[in-house]
Amino acid sequence: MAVGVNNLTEYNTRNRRLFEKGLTEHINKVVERDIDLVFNIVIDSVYNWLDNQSFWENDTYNLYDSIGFGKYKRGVLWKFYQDKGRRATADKKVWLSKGNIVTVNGFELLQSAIGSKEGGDFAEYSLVLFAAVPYAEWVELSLGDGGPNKRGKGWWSDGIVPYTRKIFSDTVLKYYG
Amino acid sequence: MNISEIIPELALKSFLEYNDVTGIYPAGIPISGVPSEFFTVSMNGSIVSESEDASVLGCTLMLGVYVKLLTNGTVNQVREKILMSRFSELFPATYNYEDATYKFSLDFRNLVYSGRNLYSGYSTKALNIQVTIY
Repeated sequence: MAVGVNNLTEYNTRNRRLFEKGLTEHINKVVERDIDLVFNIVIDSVYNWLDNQSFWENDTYNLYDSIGFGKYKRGVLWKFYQDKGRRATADKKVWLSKGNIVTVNGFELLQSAIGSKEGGDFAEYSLVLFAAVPYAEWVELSLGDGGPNKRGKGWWSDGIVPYTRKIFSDTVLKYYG
Repeated sequence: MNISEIIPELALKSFLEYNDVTGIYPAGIPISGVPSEFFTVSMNGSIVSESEDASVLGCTLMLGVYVKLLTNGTVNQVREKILMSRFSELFPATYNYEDATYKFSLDFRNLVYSGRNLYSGYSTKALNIQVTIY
């Protein structure tokens, strides 16, 4: 009797391992491909939005350069995207309080964000939208010399983030809803 | 093995230097005195336990390969090819560092990033290295 139980246990263990192996292969080959398709559609859409957005006019392209996407799998960055490479031809001069001026290079800020531990370890697969702070935050909150019309204020919280979220939802519903 | 005592970036730096690879920056790129080709090593994600007793750990490191552009602004493909070929010879590898053994394997099938604009005046290739520590 004991032998029969042992055999059944081994049989179940073997079946479970086969099932897990098959499921993992399915996820890696099929599900991952579908997820990647959704991610790519979202990335393309957001860059189109950036090219046609009305939140600010690009003076130096340093804000544009500070934006990128990271695709994460189990918290590990496996692909990083930045649209067209560096577009700014000069650093942005940012006016801080008491007359202090700092120069900002959006691309180099973004570079330092890549591989940071702020990545997407909140899901099996995640798409992370980067905007290198403090410059992006400086524009978002209109802390500097945005002028009387506060150019770019809310570009992150009212602009790109809701748009990205909507495109993601719409794309998932369209293909897999 | 205590996870807090493990610094895989330094183990990989030590391994590369042992194999005569120089110009490795595990703590960011310096502002001045940057050589014509250099490498960055950074953690990509977290260190996780791969065994119940935490005797085997795993993580991913990101290796950035930076090569200065040619004077006409184009990518130095010859130099890039030599460096990538060198890395394909070095990995997979097993290396002992500070009472732990590290197994490094490089995934050449997936480049995290490949382009010429990530760092001003340099081309970049970023690759993931799977690390097992025991």
